[in-house]
Amino acid sequence: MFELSVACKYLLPRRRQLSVSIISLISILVISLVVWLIVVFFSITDGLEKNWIHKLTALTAPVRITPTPAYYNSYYYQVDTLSQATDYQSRTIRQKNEALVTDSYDPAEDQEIPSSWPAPDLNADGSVKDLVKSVYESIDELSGIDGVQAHDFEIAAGQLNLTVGRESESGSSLQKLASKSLSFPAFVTNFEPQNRPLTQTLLPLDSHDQTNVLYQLGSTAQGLRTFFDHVQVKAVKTPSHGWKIPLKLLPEQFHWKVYAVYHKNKLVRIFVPLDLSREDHLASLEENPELKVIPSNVISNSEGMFLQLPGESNLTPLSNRSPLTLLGDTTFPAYPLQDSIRTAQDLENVSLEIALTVQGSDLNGTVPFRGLEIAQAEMNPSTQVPWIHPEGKTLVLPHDSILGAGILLPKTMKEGGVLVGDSGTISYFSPTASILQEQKLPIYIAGFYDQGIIPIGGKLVLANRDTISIIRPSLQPEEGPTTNGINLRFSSLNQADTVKEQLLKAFKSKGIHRYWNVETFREYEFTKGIIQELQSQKNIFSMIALVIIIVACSNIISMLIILVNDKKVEIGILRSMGATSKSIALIFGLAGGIIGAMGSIIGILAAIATVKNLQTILGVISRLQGYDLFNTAFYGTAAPQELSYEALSFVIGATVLISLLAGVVPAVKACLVRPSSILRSAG
Amino acid sequence: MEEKNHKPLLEATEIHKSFFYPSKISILKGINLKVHVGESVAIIGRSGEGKSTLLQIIGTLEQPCQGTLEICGQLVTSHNQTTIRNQSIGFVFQSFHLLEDFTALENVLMPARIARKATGSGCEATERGLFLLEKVGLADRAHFHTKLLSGGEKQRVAIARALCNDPSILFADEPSGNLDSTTSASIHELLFKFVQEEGKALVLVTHDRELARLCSTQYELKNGILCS
Repeated sequence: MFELSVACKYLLPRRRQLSVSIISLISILVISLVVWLIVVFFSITDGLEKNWIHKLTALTAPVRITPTPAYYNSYYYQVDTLSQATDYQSRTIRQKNEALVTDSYDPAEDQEIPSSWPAPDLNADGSVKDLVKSVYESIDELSGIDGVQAHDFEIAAGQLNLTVGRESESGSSLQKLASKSLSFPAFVTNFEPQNRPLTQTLLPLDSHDQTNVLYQLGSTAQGLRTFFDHVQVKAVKTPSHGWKIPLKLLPEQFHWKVYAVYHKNKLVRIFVPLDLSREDHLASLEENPELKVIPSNVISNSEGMFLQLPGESNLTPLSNRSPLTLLGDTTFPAYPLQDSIRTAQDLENVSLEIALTVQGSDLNGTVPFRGLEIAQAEMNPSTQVPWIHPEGKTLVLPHDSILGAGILLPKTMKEGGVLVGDSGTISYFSPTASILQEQKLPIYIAGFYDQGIIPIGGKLVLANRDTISIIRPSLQPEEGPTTNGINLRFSSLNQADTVKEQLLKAFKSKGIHRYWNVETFREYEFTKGIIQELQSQKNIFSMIALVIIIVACSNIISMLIILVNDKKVEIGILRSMGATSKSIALIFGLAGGIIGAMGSIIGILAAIATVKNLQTILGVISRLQGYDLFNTAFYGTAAPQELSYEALSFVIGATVLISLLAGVVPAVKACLVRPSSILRSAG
Repeated sequence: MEEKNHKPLLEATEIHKSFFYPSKISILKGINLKVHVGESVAIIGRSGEGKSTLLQIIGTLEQPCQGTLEICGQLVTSHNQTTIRNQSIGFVFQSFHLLEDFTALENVLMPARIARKATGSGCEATERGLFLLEKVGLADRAHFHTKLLSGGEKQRVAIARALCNDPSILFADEPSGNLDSTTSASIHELLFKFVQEEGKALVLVTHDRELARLCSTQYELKNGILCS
């Protein structure tokens, strides 16, 4: 194709056509920048959206079936409140599905049905239509959908009360922190053991959680043994306020550089750094005007232990009680002594074998566990750990005999200082014969999940079904948004609309469509706004992007018009050799297309490199700015690293199309060149 | 003379051409011309008489105001003129008009590429291009960029390019106008050699009467009429 080779030759930078070369270069640069920007932006937003939707569907489901007011007003639902067989209690979807009898009403035993009630929906044989079982039948009839799982859900309301106490001291004030209580209203929904997608939203147990669980369980011998059976401690660290080095651990002779801390001219603490590059930990102490930090030496020899202040030759003797404190967050290997665990009644009696080197002096020996934190531990795979864990294909939310019922809290609570192992109660009101009585159910935190951006996510507590069934009567259907329903999960989120369509069709054919709402994850009351906002943001940016691409490609028009003027004689020569006007137009159209394609390719390559290294780039920018570029509460801990193929196709399509369109005007101009006049004038 | 009895390669009938800007001026007033195989025709005349306009009209680069043109038995229309230009006609211009971004061989092969012929190494068209360059004495300059060639060499490349698609008629507009006398003579020799050896027709526009005398037929364009 000679048109392509001619177009390529024309685009090669030449001194004779400097203006064309410069404009071409600028065009390519601008297009590649725009392409890079669009692809990176869409890859990030698409990645975040996928992440959010993943979390959303893990906590809810891709499709939800919920009862309409018509269901709660129906004879089918209300009849249980009149029936002795059901203890005059309305039944949940699960109870309805498990019930052997659809219509529990016994005219002989039960009181008369109020005339205001609607007539029951009847089957062809005159029996009452089972509205819940018909739904499950419709789910079973779904075709072409892989991995369908249906689980009913319940939501109850309660007041969550937590007591968060830590054995800690503030580094700046050296004052003990009081334990704090947290109390907030919460929606408690049931935890589904078969909900594997939830696993990916669970936060892994960190060393703070492990330490907290140990301290919570450490009050009993059984708790201690449960913990150490499943957790192998490999290393410990000193708490942020430091760790008093036991005197028996100190070597006989040493010479250490230390920081002596004075409060009102009284020596209160001597901080010992593991090595001499840890001064940053003293910054908070130095900021406190009441404290005076003096870099000094501690010398120990056969005559005793002495403090040597700078510029003083006199040594101040230190009493055996003078505390040498290892600086905070110092990690060192440690092994719990199995004998001490076997015999210990609580954590006070558990000992650790430690080995560390402080400024060249070896410190080896046995120390009590209390006062130290777990830094590194290995989990023994087990089914009895008191936190959430997988067991085969299901997840287990444990119920601990000491701590109570395990619950899962949203990530924001962990950021608020709550740790796995913290305990408290859920209070709820239980109706008695005369009054509503407040009841308290002991619970403890068995794990955290990342709730993403669901508005009610911060208040959603996951608990086992038996916990819900205790609290449930406190929330009536009319009080909550959706208190009972069926979560429908399946392999591909893209099939959500198909599932909804099939279900609505099935409900209609069964005559139960007015009793049930079917919603996909994009339609939930609490997510609709966010998803629409995301979509409108993307639409607005697409429009802006399109305008930017048009502006970038408009450079191509100028460049091609100059090129056509420069190449008029050559156009005449080509025409004299038999080139058609279409071929001439194609040469300049291709020149525009090549610039667009080159810009796109460079932009896409840069975008791929950026997206693949996004985490590093964000880290660098965040460090330069001094604050996090992406709020982890909203965006998760890891930046998206997947390229948006939707954005790629949009950009490639738009750029090439607009570049070709940009070539139209110059190409038409080139077609209109009369070879005779050009060749004559050039001659 | 026997050949003249056959159908002519080029037959122009009653060609009229006028220009209307800034005021109407008639350049050609009913030109009739026949060119046969092996014939070399020289059209001479003073500057401004319309020699080049006539050449461009019979070379299909310009539309006449009136009259018909047949080339190789085909009536020239707006639909077939590009094919005729590519297949049946070769041009040699006074200013060479080579494509400067390309090498000598690429220039020679351009008509073949426009005709969508394969021009890779070893292809028929490429072999012919190399053969023609060898014929014009530029085999060793085949891969030189044309801007590195002298005027005479450029005109040789232009002649080779004009012959690339094996056309029947060669049109030359002052082919040696920009060259010194020695180079001019060699270019003339080359042109006539090709006409004789390859059985082409040559239509030459010049004001050089010496060159015109080398042609088998001479016409003079005077007041828009072609005189023998």
